[in-house]
Amino acid sequence: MAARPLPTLGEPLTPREIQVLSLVATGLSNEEIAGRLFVSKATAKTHMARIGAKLGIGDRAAMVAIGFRKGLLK
Amino acid sequence: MTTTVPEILLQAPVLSPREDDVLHALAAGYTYQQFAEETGVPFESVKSYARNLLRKLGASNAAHAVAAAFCCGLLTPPARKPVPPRQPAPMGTPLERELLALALAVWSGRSYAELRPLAMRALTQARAEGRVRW
Repeated sequence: MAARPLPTLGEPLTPREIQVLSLVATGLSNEEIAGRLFVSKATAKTHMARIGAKLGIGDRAAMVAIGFRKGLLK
Repeated sequence: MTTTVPEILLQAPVLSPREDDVLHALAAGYTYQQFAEETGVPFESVKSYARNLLRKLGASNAAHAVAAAFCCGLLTPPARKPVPPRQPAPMGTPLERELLALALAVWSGRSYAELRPLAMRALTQARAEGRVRW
């Protein structure tokens, strides 16, 4: 299956991506997030890559900071 | 969607200035290594500050620490742009203002020109007191 192109910077996060980000904020690893959401680790990593592309950063701690600053996480 | 940070920090822990620096660097996307290079603080020291920071925040990693810091107010989202105060509506329509001045002139026997500013003030007053809706 062809991979979807990565989203562009500034695109809004989907509800699922916000859910993933909120799990990152609780300190979970990709593997733990995958287990929590009943998806594969690869899917969790894909979510992270798409969140990173939308927020313009690859660092998990910074993603969480942006999530709070944008009001996606409270 | 609400984040559930398991460690609910009712009171923000007291951070040392270095720990606070590390916290802000983590929130800005720095790795420990990058922070060490940027500040000239030895990497081992940075790791030590970070260890203490995570312990104080009850966090298991940097992302968790940043979330905990937002939850207890050590990091704050930017203040929302203040809503500008509502502009008071203009006092009546131009015609209404002229009519009030005219009515006052007729009633008082004084000149219309003299009473125009008075009519404006009277309207302002009436609006402030809620006696007129326009």
